Amino acid sequence: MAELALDSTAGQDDLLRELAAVVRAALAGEVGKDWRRYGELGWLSLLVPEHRGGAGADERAAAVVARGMGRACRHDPYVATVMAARCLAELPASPGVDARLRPLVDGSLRAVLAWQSESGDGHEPPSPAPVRLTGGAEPRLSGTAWWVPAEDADTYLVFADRDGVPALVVVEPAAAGVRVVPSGAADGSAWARLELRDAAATDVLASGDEVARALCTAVHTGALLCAAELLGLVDRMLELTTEYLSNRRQFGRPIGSFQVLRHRAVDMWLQQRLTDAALDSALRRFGAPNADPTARALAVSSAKARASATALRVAGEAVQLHGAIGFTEEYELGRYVNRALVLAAWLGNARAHTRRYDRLAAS
Amino acid sequence: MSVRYGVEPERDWNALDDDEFRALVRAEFEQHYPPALRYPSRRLLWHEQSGWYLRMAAKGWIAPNWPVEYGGLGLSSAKLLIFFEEQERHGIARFQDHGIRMIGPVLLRFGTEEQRRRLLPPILRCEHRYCQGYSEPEAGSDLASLRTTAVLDGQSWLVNGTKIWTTMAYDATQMFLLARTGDEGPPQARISFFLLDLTTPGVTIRPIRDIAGEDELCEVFLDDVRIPAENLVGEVNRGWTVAKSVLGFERIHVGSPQLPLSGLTLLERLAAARGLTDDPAYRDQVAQLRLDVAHLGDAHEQFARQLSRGEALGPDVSLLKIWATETFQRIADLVIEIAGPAGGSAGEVPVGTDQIRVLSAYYRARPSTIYGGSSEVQRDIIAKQVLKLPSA
Repeated sequence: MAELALDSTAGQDDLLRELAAVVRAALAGEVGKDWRRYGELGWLSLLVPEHRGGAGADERAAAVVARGMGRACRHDPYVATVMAARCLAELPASPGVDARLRPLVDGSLRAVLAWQSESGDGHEPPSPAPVRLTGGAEPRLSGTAWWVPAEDADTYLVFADRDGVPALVVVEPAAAGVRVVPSGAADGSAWARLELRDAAATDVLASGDEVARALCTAVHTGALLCAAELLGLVDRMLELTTEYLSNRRQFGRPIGSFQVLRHRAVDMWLQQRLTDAALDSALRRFGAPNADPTARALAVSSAKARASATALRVAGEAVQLHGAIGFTEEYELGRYVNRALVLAAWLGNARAHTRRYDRLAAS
Repeated sequence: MSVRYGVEPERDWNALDDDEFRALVRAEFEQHYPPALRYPSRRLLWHEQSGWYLRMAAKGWIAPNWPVEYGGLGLSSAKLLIFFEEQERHGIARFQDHGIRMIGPVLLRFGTEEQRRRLLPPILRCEHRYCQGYSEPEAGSDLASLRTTAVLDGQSWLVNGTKIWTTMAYDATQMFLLARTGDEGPPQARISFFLLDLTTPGVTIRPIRDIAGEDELCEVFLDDVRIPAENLVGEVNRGWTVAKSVLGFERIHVGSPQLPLSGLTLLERLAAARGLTDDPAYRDQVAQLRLDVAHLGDAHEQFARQLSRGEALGPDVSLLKIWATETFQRIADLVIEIAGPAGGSAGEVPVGTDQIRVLSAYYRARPSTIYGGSSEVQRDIIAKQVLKLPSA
């Protein structure tokens, strides 16, 4: 935690700026080879309250880290891990919960949530949960959780349903009846499909409405942070594009001197700034002490809808303004485009969130 | 010195917290603004709204942006934004208030003490109502190439030229204008800033009918018009600086969500009248537009926070103007689309059980991307000053 001890006399905006600089420097340097380093830096525990062993920071701080991840095009499951930590921290403390939360935030346990159905849009927990929980003393799980954001996690936290009551269940990948089926993602990482056939559950951490509420908060948080990570991708794609427009010469002049291309670059910038404003506003509204669930969902959908749309639009424009080089695997831009495709679709794409925003705003 | 500008201030407005201030302003508007004048569908003439603004003048509220010692409310940037937001929220019509918004601040910064004493009080009393004389037939986006000339002749400047796109010049009493006074250096360094009394001999005003059928825009011909030497503001050949200096706050104002919000209101009303409210294709379109407007509001708030921290706005504020006006146009286009056969109707027409002026948003949206610096000029500014892209 020592490395997060920023000057507390500064205003919050200054603190966040300082954190952004720290994140940027760390990601440009040694961090990333070893997942545990993220834990040591305190980045994984930002949303865990202090009395549960976390940093007790807010979503704005976590968004700064996520944006930095995007800017550096890291494929680490940062957002997925913070989601899992958030979900556990939202549950009442218990030996089972705490035994997972502690190693999760210090980086020694890699755990992600497994909660999505095949057909859902992924912007909110499905009802009922995609996996069925049965048995008393020896609980068993059957069903398939889709779009699990890591195929190599140590532990999966499965959203399950027992006779209409939601539960959060720990499953080890090596247990009998568990199959982790990887499915390739555009950025070279992999989703997992968690197929459970009468699989042995290691631990039922909690059950009842508190699980549904905790998961919902975790999914909302994840979508906000995913928007921040998308914005980080956009930051870099725009930077690459303006550099390219300034340096690339054709017809005897820098191509960035042609008005058509200048205006298209401005439109990319405009979307970046709108996304920044939308995310900033959403983070403030989401974290407001008096925010009700509808206001929170509206804030999340507002930000993720814009971020997903902007990332894909900026990715497409960036490739076009680069010309053929932008379509090559060798050039840096391609990794950002592929990462944007993955994150734009994850936790609800622009269409899903735009529709939810409209539904909630009308009600 | 003891000139009394305006009326005694009622209290220290900036000492109030924002919510308290907003409530006071709102209450004043709700209690006293004539309901019949709320949200007018065209610009009102002075005599139609003079009652309200003379009341504001008598109350000392006519110049919220001026310092207290010159008869204003002396509001901070943040309070000022609240004042204007409440004005818009209540649908209060604006008058020819360039004198308040621009000329007051210009005189305070560039004017002489004599000019302030002579020219500020009539603005506060609404006796001097200014219109703008920037554009010319041959100088639109390329304003620096303007051709109107002013030549010093004894104690006055002899001015010749043509100004165009002046809004309601026939309802104003004065004009602030740019004219060429030199012939050396870059075009921007040959321009001076003048204040003209429109009753001066040689001034001819010709309204221009627009495609909406309105006569708000005007052409103003200046033939051997004499402007007294004391009405030149700032230094000779430094008018470009004067003209540019007052645009900062105006730019955040023009990019407020007010225009597109008014478009959304019309859109939803028309959709209800046409029974389209729950049509899925329509819902997808309106949902996108709602987000576009919401995010304009978010961006607007970011700039407002910047102002309230006391920071100056940079060229990136052009973002607001582009997005506000282009979003407004997309909304206006959808209005026409869902109007079906009524999409080409002039004036107010029956739609379902409602009476709707279908094209009102369209006709307000089209010029919004042209006036105050076209969208293309705004993009040029951002490309150069924000993205720092190379010129040829």
